[in-house]
Amino acid sequence: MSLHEFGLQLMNGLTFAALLFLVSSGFTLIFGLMRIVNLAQGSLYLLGGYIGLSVIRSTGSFWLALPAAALAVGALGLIVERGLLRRVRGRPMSEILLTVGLSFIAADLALAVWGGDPITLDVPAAIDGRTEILGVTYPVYRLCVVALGLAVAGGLWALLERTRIGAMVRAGVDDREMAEALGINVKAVFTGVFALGALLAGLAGVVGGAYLSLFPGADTQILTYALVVVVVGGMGSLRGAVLGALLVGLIYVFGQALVPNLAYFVLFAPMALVLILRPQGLFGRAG
Amino acid sequence: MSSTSPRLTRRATTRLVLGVVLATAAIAGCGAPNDSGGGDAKGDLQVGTLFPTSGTVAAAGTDMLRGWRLWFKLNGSEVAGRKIVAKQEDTAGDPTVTLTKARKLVQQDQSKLLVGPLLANEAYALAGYLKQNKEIVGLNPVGSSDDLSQRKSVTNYVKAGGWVSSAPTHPAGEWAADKGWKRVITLCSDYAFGYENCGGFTNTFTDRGGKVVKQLYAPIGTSDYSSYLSQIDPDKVDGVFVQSVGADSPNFIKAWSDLGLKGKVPLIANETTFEQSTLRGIKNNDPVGLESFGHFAEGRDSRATQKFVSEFKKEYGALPSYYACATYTAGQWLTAALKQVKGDTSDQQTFLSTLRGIKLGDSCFGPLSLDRYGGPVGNVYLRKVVRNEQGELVNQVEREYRNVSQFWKYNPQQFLAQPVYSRKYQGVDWPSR
Amino acid sequence: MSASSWAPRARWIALGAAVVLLAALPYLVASFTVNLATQALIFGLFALSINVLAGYGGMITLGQAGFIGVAGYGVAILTTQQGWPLGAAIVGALALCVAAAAFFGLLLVRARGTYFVMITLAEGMVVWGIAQRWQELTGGENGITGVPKPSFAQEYWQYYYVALVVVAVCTLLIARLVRSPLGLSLKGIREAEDRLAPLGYDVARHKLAAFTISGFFAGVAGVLLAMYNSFIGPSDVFFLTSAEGLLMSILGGVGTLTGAFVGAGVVIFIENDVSSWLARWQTLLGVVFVLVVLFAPDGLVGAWARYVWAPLLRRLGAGAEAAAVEAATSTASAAVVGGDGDGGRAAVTAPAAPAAPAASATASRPEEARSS
Repeated sequence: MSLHEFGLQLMNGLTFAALLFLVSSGFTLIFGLMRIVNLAQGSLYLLGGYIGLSVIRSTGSFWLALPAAALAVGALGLIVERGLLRRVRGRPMSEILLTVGLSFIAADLALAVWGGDPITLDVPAAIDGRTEILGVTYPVYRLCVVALGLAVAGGLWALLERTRIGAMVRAGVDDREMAEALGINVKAVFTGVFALGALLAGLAGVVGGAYLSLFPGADTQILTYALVVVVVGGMGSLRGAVLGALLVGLIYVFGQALVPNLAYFVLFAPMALVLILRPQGLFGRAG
Repeated sequence: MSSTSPRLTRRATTRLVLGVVLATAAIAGCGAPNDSGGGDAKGDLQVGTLFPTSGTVAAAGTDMLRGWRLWFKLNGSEVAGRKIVAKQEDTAGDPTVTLTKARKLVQQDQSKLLVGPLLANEAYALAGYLKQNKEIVGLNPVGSSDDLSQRKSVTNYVKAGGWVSSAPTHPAGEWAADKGWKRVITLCSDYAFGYENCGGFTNTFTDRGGKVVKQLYAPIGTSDYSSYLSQIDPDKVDGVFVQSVGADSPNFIKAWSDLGLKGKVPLIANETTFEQSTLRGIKNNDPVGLESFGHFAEGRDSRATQKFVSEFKKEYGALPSYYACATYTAGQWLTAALKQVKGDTSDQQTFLSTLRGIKLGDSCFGPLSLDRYGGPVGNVYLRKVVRNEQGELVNQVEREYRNVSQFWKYNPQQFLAQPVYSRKYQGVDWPSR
Repeated sequence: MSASSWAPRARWIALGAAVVLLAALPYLVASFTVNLATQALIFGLFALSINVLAGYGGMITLGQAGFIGVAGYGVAILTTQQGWPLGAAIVGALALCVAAAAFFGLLLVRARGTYFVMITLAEGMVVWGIAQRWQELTGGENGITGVPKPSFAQEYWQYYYVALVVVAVCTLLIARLVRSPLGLSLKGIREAEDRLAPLGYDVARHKLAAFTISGFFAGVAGVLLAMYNSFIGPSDVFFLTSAEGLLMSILGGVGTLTGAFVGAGVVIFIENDVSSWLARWQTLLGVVFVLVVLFAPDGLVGAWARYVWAPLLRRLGAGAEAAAVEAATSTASAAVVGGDGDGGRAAVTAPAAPAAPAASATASRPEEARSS
């Protein structure tokens, strides 16, 4: 592999990692705090992308689509958590079943509303060009995706480590009963975290929909990757999501280039390794 | 009847098993159940369509349904005294579902004819079913697997309005050589359809002395083509041949522009990369000016094509993809066959040989007929994507190749003696010079 | 004759009627319905294999379709490519499946709760990856056609009987298993895994045994499926199939035997019959699942027992029976869907031996107990 190609692939990997982080961070937070495996995370991504598409079609503005889709999907998450998930709290099978059922519904309704043609969102002209970085010519948009990933990572870290709400969330992750005993409104925190997780997925949908495409099946695809990221990084750990996303993103890209026959398995290899050697993930907590 | 009942003792369990076995044997021994037979020779002709209207190929499948319905809407479903009654079942792009729905259409809806499906694996599964159920006739307008009209053809599965994956890419290889390309990289989907597309190109290109420097394969469902395109060094190739399908195509098109390869590296693509079902969803100009080889061109200047395109647009508000033209032509084909047998489908052999002998003077594809192996013979077009006056992206015809068969210029027996195009076999060293 | 003694007799009559109905099905309904019934039997067995792990062992699996793949592709490859006779191919495929289940199980024994689920998901997808990518062996996306049926079961109705007998025998084997010492220890693992190890139970070995056995029965379903369709392809092995199997078992009622078949029947009915007239049938499937999760966590069988059968029994004066049924369903559902997914910490007792429900019923509803 030439240095030029290496540089390109590195950028490709970082871009994909940023997108994965956006989807997985919500997933891992939801699990870390609420122990819910939100198998509808992929559907939330897809819905976010499609909602963004509708906003762009009616207003022509990508910049409006970003927050609109994120907030819409976040609101959806809020409704789902309060109205449905809360009723089956503490019953893992019911939770899984509920999220899978919801993903069936979401995917089918999306097909009914937006059709089955694969769709790519239009990137605003301002960031649609190419630029030189690390010696290679690379699309500006993708660099923006990386920047966004970093920004969100930083923002989430600040939220969790530096705010009171964040402290409450961390307390809830550490020890739910104790947090409740201390008077923290754990229920409200749960709802908030779930909504945040959904919001991030919706945001990721718009971001991803502009350099990948949206189509029936994109939800399962991104969910599979997110699962690998979170298992490798450790459920419930933000640092884990960052590291996991980086690992998966880079392995995915370089795997395809170096060992195309085995590219698919290469993705699961770190997951298998982690599960054998350190089942709680790189940054997860044991037990 | 909760089975958490603790009442099943060992004796009772044994009795139960015995009971089931005995009852089964007793009843089964009485002989086959009475089953209402298939359709009749006169009266309605029941047709079952197997188009995937859900799942990952939902968009193409919906076009298939639309094309089929449009033909009968415009031309009537009463042909030679028979009324054609069609029932659609969704195969969801899955071969197991295809089989279930095929059985349903035949057993429950008394279908005598099955049309479809879409994907190669669905088509192979249906071919297997048709092989075991010779009294049913299958029309295959979209499933283009090479072998379905070559080494693995099934007599009662006819490529009516159909095509062969490698047929349009054979001329592409010669075209590239004529342009002076010497070193080429091919990028295709990592499954049979991809191998057949790349195989056709590679075979003829290498015959002319060209060298395929690298062959890249991207699995279906590739979201990010950048890792493949990053392996293409503009200084080291004269051109790239690409095949992509379904949701992968817009991803490819975007990455091709994003990574700056458009305009820097000449590109020639297969049909499905620049297919209307892909182009419809693209608002920018990334695909404009890019060329491909295919058996359908919605910009083709012929009455048959333009009538189909304008009627489709009027009815559905969108430009038709080749999927729609395929099933529209299947309707045309069936109509022609029924007229020839004067509506009498009672003799399976006659009906089948009529179907296989149909020659369409023109269709939305162009003239179409079948060779004696059941492979379609028709036009192939070199197309270019342009934005027309209405602002739509369409494929315009740059060059027309007539009477292209699945064997191109090769001798059929020699061609068939080689294996079907696969990852391992791309016709590089065949025919030996 | 007292009221509470005809109830078990009624149950036997109902069971007998069901047996006769199943055996006579091809003579009663159209061929297509018989085909659907065959599919329901096959997928019912598949869902039952998931039940063994989930309902009785408390372990949720999202990768069970992997075993359909190993066994189904096994029989397909051995017959179409290696030229083995069908009987030998089936034995070979099932042996391979058991080996795979044991191998995957070894990776799983240390995992608990949600990690267990994730690993099973990955394992299932690895099998799918092999099915889809290893072209020379599995035909890739095209799958393998031409899988033979047994020579005595070439017709659709003959194959139905084969499936019926095989599934019936497997169901009874599973019923025995559940009441065996292994089965009881599985329930113990479900409820209180942490407490068993100090008691000397080799928890890992029991989990491995359970996983292997469950994989075996899923493999039987895979063989039946491959022969039924004369075809096997990657989509049969995809995550969606595993998810549907889990959904079928939960829909019917985890922790019950008939539940798996009820759930399979409902899903297959929606997928095949409803899909012809309702384009949004997948939405309907999702809605049904959501409703079951929210309002009938014991599944349809549990809901039937609780809301139809028990009140009926009570109305007909078989109070003790009714209470027993209610106790059985409530403990089944609580034990299964209770706990917090990390190996089950709910301290409820298992669907106990015959004595317990009657005792608790007597204790809680003295007025009904007096009625017999």
